[in-house]
Amino acid sequence: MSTTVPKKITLRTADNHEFEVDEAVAMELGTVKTFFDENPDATDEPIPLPNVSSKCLSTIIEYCKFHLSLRARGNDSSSAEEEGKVYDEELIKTHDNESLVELILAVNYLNIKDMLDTLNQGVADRIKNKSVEYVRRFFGIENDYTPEEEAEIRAQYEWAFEGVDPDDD
Amino acid sequence: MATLSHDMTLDILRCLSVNDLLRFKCVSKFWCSWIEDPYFIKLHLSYSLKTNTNRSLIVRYCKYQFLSVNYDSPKTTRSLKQPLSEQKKYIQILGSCNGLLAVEDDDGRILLWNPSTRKYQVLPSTEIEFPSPPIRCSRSTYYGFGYDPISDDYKLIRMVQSHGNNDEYFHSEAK
Repeated sequence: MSTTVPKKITLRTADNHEFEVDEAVAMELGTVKTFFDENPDATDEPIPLPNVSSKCLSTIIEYCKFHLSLRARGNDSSSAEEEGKVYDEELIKTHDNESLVELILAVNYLNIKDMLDTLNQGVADRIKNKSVEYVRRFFGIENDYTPEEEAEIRAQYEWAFEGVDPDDD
Repeated sequence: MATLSHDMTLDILRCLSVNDLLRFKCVSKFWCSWIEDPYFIKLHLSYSLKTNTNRSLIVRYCKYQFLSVNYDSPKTTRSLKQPLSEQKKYIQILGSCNGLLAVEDDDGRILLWNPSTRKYQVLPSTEIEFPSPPIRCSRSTYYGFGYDPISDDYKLIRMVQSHGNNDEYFHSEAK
């Protein structure tokens, strides 16, 4: 009886770290999957990921491994769904605002839809009910309104500025 | 901090409530134009429908006031001034679709009202013509309000049924 050894794929990050992962995990990365679909005869050379840091890639690989194992369990879907939720919440919690945005950029480049949805919701949860100033700081946006223009919008939607949470940074 | 592209920002903004979005028009001129863009408004609506978020229950509170109860967090209940409240017009809700309400005031004027943005629009009045000679009869009026994907617009149908002695007339009009 022969056992098949899962094929390994090597990914190389922007800061020149190499990660060897199972093919199934690599195929979770849309960008990598597209590369192999378009180049079926690709050699075993490491795949360069010039927009992804090793810190982000290791988080992403852990996420893909975990969600793959949940999907593999399949039949007890309700507990798997719950575990997935807990994992996702923990993932958001362990990232500060800046590293969350960095992770979104990497996940967007690698085209991992479910993970991107989770992270986008995580950012939305951080800015919901927050002040305009907090959001400007969060995204590094400069205010290009004159004080008069800004006052006009504030007056128009006065009620939307009521009951906003205090900034926590 | 690294900056997110336009599309990536919209994917975050579509998860927010209308209330947050109206406030964030103040963030910058770009954000304001993105939030007001019909493309984004559709993206936001379809995401809200898909994820069952941004749902509110609109309840009459007193004569010219309603309460908007947020389904996702019932603690955030806001009082809502109805359109034309300053004119002391009593309104009646005819129907709702995708967060829009069709309402009618005392004078028979029909309005579309978006309680999330608090904007409203008075619809042009359309008279229904009755066959002559005029018959003394009682009338029942029915309304239906919905979205028409073919014309990509909302439609309000009014059907007036006139009860004659033995005859029945039907007439319907679409906005």
